[in-house]
Amino acid sequence: MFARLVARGLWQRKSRVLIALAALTVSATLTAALSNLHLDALRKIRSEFSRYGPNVMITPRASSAELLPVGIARELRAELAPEAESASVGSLAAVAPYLYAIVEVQGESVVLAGTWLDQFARLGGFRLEAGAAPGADSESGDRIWAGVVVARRLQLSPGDRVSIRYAGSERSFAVAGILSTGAAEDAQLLADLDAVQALAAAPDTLNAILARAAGSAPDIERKVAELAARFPAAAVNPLRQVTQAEFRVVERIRWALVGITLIVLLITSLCVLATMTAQAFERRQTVGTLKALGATEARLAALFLGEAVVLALVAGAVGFLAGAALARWLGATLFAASVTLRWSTLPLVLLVTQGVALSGAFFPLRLVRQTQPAVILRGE
Amino acid sequence: MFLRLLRDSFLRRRRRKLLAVAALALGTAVTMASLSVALDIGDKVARELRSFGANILVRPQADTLPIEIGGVDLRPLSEGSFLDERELSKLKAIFWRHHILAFAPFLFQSARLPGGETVVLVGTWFEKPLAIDDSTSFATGLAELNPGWQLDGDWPADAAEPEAVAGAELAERFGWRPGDDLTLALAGGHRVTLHLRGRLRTGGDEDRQLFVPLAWLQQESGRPHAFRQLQVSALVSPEDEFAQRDPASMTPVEFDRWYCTPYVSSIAHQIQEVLPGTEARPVYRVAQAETAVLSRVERLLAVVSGVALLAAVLVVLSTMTTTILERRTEIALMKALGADNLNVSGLFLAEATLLGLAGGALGYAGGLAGADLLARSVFGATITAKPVLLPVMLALATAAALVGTLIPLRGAQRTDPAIALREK
Repeated sequence: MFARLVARGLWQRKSRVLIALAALTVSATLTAALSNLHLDALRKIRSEFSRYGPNVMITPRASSAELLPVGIARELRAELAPEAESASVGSLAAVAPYLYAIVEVQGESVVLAGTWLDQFARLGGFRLEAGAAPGADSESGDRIWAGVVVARRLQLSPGDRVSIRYAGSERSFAVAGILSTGAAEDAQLLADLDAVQALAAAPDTLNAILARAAGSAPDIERKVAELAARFPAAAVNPLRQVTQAEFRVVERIRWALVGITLIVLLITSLCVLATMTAQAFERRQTVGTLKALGATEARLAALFLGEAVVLALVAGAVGFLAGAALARWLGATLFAASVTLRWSTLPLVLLVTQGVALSGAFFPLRLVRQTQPAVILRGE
Repeated sequence: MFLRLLRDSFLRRRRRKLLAVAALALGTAVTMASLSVALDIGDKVARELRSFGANILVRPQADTLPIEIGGVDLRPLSEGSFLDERELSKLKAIFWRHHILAFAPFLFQSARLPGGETVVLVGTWFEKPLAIDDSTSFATGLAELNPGWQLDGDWPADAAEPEAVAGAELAERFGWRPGDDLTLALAGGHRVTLHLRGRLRTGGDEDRQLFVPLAWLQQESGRPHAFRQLQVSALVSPEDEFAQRDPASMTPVEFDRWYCTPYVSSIAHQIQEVLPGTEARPVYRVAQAETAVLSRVERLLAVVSGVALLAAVLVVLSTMTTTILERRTEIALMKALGADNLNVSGLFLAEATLLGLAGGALGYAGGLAGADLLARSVFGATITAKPVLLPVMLALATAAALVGTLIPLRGAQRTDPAIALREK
């Protein structure tokens, strides 16, 4: 009987019910779309910070005069994921060790940096001006990359051979490419770590390690703490300007999104409220009849709330699917990111929709209680 | 007659009209708030991103190769060329001067501690008030350049006083605390005593450097007004494909467009113009990260405000539809009294226009207040009112009201008056 009353009550006022349903579906769709998009979009924004390159720096603890053993870098490298993109949260995505030597080229002093070239490429943050990019496949033993400032001053171009002197030793390298970063690297030469270690007669030593940890700022801080405990001889520090900028930007975007979502939910729920109130007002006759036939206020309240619950369930289900599709489409077109359908957001969507619908049914309930059957049924 | 009908409709149905105006105002306010936030947030995020530090590096053009490791030029002061710090106020005279947020000149010299270890002295400005012209001054220096740095203690005064700020690693190693006096020997064996004012932790190379006032280092090394390197922090817009092009290959029109857009490359170009003999280069990794983050954020907010706009329009539509459906009897009565569809539509659309204008104006004001509240609580900054949005909001609200009226109106007009009147 109750179910029939609810079903008929909804069916007989199709056009009105549709408006309420539409408003509820919109709020469900928006909740679903924004909660699905939210996580992926923020992750995408966060991942853009990795373009800055390194976010962790490992240096010798005691002083800059001492050096790091290369073993630390080897150990860290063995733990790397095969692809920088597939690094899991809280693990390292790239590890680039650095050994610097002040060498002599064509009678000028130049800084020669030795690193693992594939890791240098993984860290990124450079632009290739000419020649081949450094990478894993470059059989790099005697290949060298020149910063733009060095290349211009020494008139180097890809294919040239340069002879590099350090203390007593001398070695010939082939220029493979010209790099530009806008920072100190522009005035440096870059070669494979082993070659620089051999030239400088400093095997197994490093000046610094630059690394990139995957994940958000707190993940990076955790990784730094873990590394610091593992390598007591080294000073491990997050590059704070990067982690802080990331943290602050992402937090602010998150709150801006939550703020806008809340405002949208507020207005859609007001819309539902207005529609439902208008409906209850129109159904005074029905309410009056039911009361005259002996329906208690609790039963009438259950009837109205039951209608709201049914509407919210339908709207929630439809809205969840529509919202997930919307998020997917937005993610694909705007962020080039696949937004995964999160079933964990379904309860949230249903809950929000129920909340909106029930709060919309709350005011009409007062109207129902105030209805006097005698007054209503007398006419007017 | 028409005007009287219109006036009566507003006076007799005050509650209904208020509801419609409220819905319109609310919808407009939401659109306005999210649009204002979205328009402003790019700028706010760009400012946040300036905690990356400098995004433009300026060096002398005719120079021997810098021996730079860890951000420090290790060349002895007898080598290479220098720039003149008296020229620097010109930076605030370029086309995009308001986008230059901070800059600081750097001079490096190594010094020896009594134990024999070498430390790098970095001479720079800390919180220098730079006189731009007779009336204005601009606060700049290391503190402004790197707002994300954590300083334990105070910045030294930018005077030729022997004061210093030590990097955290350095201070930890030698057990220095703010307030200590350090003795060290400059190149040539000249001994100096520095009063330590603070300790700096950045996580980067700065943790192993000793920062001193530029004026003092210039005086001690006998190079008045000289510096090696200038770091500039500029507020830039995301680099697009156009910005990647070589300015030399642009047509005059394209060049003007490039010059008048705050790309990092065009700002660097303008710096080179006012500081002849220098080379200003964008720091690629900072520019790249900034561009990527900014364009993502802008897209995200565009999407969200689009969604908010959609919600607002739907709310307005549903409220207007409800109002019209309630007035089916009235329409039927008007038609029974001889009004044709045109009369009825005219009346209702005129009502909708008035409601739309009122709702739009209220919504503009409300939305501005809401956006300001949001910006204050989230960004700790105010939103600049954009008057250009007022006509946009008025038009939007009116259009939503008209569409919301038109759709149900046609349905109502199609109903036979006899049937509609009998229903009552």
